[in-house]
Amino acid sequence: MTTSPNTKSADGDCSELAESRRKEAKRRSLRPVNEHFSSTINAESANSKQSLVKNSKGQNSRQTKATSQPHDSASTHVSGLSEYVDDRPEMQNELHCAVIYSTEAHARILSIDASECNTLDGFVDIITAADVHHNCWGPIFKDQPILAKDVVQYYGEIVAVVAAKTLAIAKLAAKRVKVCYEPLDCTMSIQEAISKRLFIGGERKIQRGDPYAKGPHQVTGKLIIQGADHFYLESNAVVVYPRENRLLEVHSSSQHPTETQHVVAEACGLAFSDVICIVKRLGGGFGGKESQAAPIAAYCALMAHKTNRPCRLILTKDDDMIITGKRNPFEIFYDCTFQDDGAIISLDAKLYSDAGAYADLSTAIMERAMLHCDNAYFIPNIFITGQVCKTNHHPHTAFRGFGGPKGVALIELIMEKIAIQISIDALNVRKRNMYRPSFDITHYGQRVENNMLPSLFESLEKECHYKARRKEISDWNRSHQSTIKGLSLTAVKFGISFTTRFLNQGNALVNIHRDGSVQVSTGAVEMGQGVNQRIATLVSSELGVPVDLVRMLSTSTERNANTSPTAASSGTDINGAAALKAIGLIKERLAKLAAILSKTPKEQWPSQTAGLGTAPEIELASPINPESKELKNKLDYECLFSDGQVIVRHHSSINTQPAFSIKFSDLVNEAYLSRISVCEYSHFKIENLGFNKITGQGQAFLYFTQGVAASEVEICRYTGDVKVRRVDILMDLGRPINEALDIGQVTGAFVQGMGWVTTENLVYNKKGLLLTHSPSTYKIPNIQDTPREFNVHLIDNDGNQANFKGTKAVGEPPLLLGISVWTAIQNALSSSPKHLQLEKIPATNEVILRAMHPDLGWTI
Amino acid sequence: MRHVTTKSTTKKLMAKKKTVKHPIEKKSTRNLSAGIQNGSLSTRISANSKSSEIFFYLNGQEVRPTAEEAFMMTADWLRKRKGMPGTKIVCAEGDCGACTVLIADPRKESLDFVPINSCVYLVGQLHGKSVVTIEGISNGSILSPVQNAMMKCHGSQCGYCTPGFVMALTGLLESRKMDNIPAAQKRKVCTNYLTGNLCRCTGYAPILDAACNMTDDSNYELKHRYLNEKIITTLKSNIWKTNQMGDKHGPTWYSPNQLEDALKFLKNQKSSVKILGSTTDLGVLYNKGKSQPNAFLSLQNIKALHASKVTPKQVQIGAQVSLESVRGAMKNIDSEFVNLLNIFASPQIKNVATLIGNVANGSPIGDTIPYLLVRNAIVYTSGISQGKIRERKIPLDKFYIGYKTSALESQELITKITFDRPKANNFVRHYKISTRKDLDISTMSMAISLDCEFSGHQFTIKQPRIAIGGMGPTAARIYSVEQKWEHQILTKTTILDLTHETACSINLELSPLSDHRGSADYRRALITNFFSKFASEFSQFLESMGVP
Ligand SMILES: Cc1cc2nc3c(=O)[nH]c(=O)nc-3n(C[C@H](O)[C@H](O)[C@H](O)COP(=O)(O)OP(=O)(O)OC[C@H]3O[C@@H](n4cnc5c(N)ncnc54)[C@H](O)[C@@H]3O)c2cc1C
Ligand code: FES
Ligand code: FES
Repeated sequence: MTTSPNTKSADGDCSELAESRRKEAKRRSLRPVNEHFSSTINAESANSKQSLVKNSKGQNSRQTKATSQPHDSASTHVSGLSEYVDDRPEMQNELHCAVIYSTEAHARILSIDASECNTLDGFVDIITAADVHHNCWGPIFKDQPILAKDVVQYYGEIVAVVAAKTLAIAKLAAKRVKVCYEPLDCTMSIQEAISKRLFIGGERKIQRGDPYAKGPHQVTGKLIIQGADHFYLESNAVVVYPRENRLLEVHSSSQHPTETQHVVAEACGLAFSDVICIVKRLGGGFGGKESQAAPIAAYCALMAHKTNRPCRLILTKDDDMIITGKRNPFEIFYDCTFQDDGAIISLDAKLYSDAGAYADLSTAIMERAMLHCDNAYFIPNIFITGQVCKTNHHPHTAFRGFGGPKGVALIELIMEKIAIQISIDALNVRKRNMYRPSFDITHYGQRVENNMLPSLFESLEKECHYKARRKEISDWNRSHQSTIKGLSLTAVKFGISFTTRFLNQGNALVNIHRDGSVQVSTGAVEMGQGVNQRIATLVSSELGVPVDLVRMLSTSTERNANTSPTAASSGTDINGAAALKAIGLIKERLAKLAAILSKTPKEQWPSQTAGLGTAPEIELASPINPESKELKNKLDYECLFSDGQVIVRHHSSINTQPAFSIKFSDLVNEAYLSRISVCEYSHFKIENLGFNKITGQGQAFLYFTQGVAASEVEICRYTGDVKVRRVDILMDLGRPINEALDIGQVTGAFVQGMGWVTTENLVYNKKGLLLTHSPSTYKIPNIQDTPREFNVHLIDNDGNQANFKGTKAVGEPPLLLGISVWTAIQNALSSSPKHLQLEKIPATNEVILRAMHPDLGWTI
Repeated sequence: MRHVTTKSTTKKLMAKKKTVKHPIEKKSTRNLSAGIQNGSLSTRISANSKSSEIFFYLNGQEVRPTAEEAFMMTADWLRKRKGMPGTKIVCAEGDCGACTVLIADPRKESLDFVPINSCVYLVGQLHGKSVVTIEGISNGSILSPVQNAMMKCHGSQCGYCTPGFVMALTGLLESRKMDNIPAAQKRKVCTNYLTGNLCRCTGYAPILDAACNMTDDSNYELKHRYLNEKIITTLKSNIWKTNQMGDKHGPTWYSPNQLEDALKFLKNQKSSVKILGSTTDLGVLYNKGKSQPNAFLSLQNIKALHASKVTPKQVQIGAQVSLESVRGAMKNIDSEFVNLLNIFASPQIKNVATLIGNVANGSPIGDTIPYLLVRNAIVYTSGISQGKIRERKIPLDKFYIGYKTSALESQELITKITFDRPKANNFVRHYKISTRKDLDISTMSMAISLDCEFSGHQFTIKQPRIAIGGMGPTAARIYSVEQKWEHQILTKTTILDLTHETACSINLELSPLSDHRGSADYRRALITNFFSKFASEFSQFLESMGVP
């Protein structure tokens, strides 16, 4: 109903309360010095534009106004006042934990000897597998011990945990624990796993069409995709307080508090209700803390439970990188046939992934990879198989995009290869194959509704001057000795929803207090993506109160139980919808009350009478189902929540009497005095999902987020060094709740994707020890790597009926656009007469140099 | 958090709690004499220099840390001892910038606040400085222009990198580098200034926007707040004084104001002493448990070691001169050296890291070493021998004797380094390749310098110098090639043959390693390509000189 009051909070005088709040806030906390600071974010940086308002025709017009409020923690972030787990002050009797991990890839544990720790002043305790009550966990298959028992299956697997009075002593104690191993045969690559038939789960298939249909041309090959580290800045961190009567209060940097709660409880032999997991915020997650935060919390909780003292476990960056799993490496064998004009006839692809030692989320990741092999393109005959392999690496896990980037990298590479083979521009191949009317059913049988791809391709081609630049680049490559350039325009069509149906549910608790201020808590974890700000904006807009009256609470299993991980870009979709549902119920009651008050003389209002009981209590008619459509027609009044007021207009007197208006906070108080609840808890589930994992067919997703990106790279012929010169992105995010935060997700995800395909190189030794385990050797993009020119625009799309308020999820999809940097490198290489080809992600300098100078006598 | 993890230290940590209350002056004198065997020497040290305790300002407040605290890394100390968790620790190795704080050091020529990595900076090294952390940025309850810009431009998502960025940006604003420059250049200046800060969430675009949109407001200038007259005077009266702290059983902190005292200390200490440049190398080893010294010898209070001098033929750099100062000094003297330093580490590191530290560390991939080799650098060392100071001059190409080992004796330290200024007809190139171009250690680097003699259309090579890093246990000159090149008469065509031949012979001579930075093949390919690149650039140079 009300769509914009939230934007007024910054300048409109909504209520005295808000005003006094603001004054108070000014006195007490931090505020911007210059209230008129420009909120456009491209003001003075010469080369880049991230436009907040732009429709597909390039006009600046958006009817429904989205906000661009900063992140709800922005002022505490910039002041260093935001509290993360390790910022919690140390308790007097607190213990510090340190972990002891396997230094073998696969071995039998012969003995664990901690006798030397006992002589250490300040050493308190050690726990091993014997101390774990239920030593088994796993997000899909329960196949992983919390602490290794008898055997270790990867370098970095936790064998024991020590606790001491100080961190220094704990670390020293950890060094003194002697673990003897008897090495066993280990499997360190996908190839080895295939030859030994070491698999997790069976082979999965998704297919459609005629296996014998083939086109006249063919590209085949093998694509090797390496993993990538999440490199969240905050390494895994846990603090556990044992409270009275066996209750454990766990503060964890987890994307999935519910799972952390469950794993901790099972490890300690407690009921789930004996454990509270609280997450205030994460210093980045990116999927890395979706499943793997749980056992780390359990190490600390076990110690706290055993010693009955507060315990703290903070992993160093090096240990975090060595211990935790990464994006799954993939090897893909492909065979694609197509017609003279580049139209794909068939795609046959066999996907193998390296799960590492345990299943973790790898089977679900494989499934998403298979579901994204089509990406933006219609492929009539398609045969995808997927097999997860078991090796002796750390168990790989979710990473922004899940399996999506692997499937998309494959098909986007194929687009480039087709273009090389038939000597046409790769963009034409893409446009020839893209999903379009009549060619809009995916290989798993879902129609691509609200398909914006054709217009996205068309707009970006024009806006980035693709054709002119293509020509400039060819000229450059012909005339320059020291560098070559490449340009590539790729797309993303990312399915939104967990492919596992039951995860698509959320819940929210909304408490409105008697002064009209609001608290909201949901299952969503704030990790920088701005889910809190988005939900607060929705709530404030629905209630017509300023957004600073809405406080988002930490994520706690005490308030929101049985939640799903904050993952799959779903945070706002499921939790925001649940919050809206709760708000809807509260509003129904308040509206009814307001309608009654509008006809009641003020002297009779509860605030005047309830204390002495001088008037009968107001009773609301039986609860109305807020979702019923007839409701609105039946009501003889309408009610508007706006600008801190609740306004009632009776249909009968709409022209004769002025509308009735009451301050929101006053109405809330009247409700309380009438014993009407102004708090609500709601559960929400996404309807109409039905993907059958056995047949590989069905409605896997609620909708698709789409986008396109054009990247231009320049490569040094002598060293293989890559510069990303220019990137243009055009995204369809439906009707954003907060455009600025959405654009932040786009730039951040793109650069993260770009890092994965270029400089981020995981190098292991023979035992599976990650050698690049810190930022000195593992190179995520630096500010110097940000594209020299970086334009990000959103199109106007009000047509996404599937999701609430027409919004679209943004967290993961733009990461897949980073692949355009990689295909641009491929494009540059193919400009040589020898049509050099890339077969690997990441395209590090060395990989590129190898591709460019096959003549330089490489031994392997 | 990451202080020494030996048994003795741990015991000491325990013991410490009881002893903190002792007056430090007394304690440290006692400790020092305990650490020094020669009785007469210890008397002389205390006679020579009035020792004082470690003293500095933290967000305008005076601080006097204990000896145990002096041994802590600043970031740990702030977070765990001072209750100031705004400063974040991510990598503890200087590579991410989350721990950035600002320091102003009155020992330096210009008294500015510059960003440093507090995770690799010992509390003891803060002596005589003014330090500002994220907690000291906002003015009362009001956000600073930098904080404001970061907030409004959405420069922060998860917020973990944010305090570091705010500190670096504040340093940028204070440096006045952004004054009066066109908008188009601002972005470049900001980018260069923020090279030391990683962010995994934003993709940097919003941070650059914030950087370009900071308003300048003199009310927020840190200098007004944390470098007022009183603070400056107090600091200046403290900087060139000896400080010494420690315990018989624990670490000893010694920072004399005389070179002689430093040398005596080195000679007499039996336990493992580490000489501190600025701990950007040492701090990493220390944090990661790879170095556990019992005593630190800080050179920062010895005035003579802060000197640098440029003469018509030579440059001389003292042991305590930072890379950033070297970069400044080389601006109009040796532009290729400046280019090298531009992509060396980050502003945070360069603001403190010393050139001598890079040389003394002797890493085969130390970036300045190949360059200094082709500039005929000479290392000056001092030590005590038979009661007297003995100075040695060691040419840099004789300095390294193996992987991270040098001709420096355990009782010696390096006082300065000298190297040649380029002659008018000098042609020099430095090539570095790393996984990521910025803030990364090289996979391989190479420097080539030639003096060119022209006679008519003929051109002769004089004094060729070729040095390579990352291809063996030490960075080294390739004498065989230098000999071959000497007196060669070149044209544009013969340079191609010569470089090609050279690359082949070097690849036969050296056998590089394969490691996580690159395979041996890759390193060989790079040698070949570096020489092709050199040939191409040299041809252009010849062309510009009119050589056919
Ligand atoms: C994030 C990061 C990035 C880096 N990037 C680069 C890079 O790009 N290229 C590169 O080459 N290096 C790089 N380094 C390494 C380091 O910064 C340099 O080697 C620096 O020059 C060391 O100087 P320092 O003063 O900090 O030395 P310190 O760490 O204090 O000392 C280094 C060694 O030298 C010894 N030493 C110092 N001064 C003396 C003296 N006067 N006499 C005798 N011995 C002495 C010390 O005992 C120690 O063994 C980087 C380091 C970090 C942390
Ligand atoms: S913590 Fe990473 S640079 Fe200091
Ligand atoms: S905001 Fe998360 S790392 Fe920068």
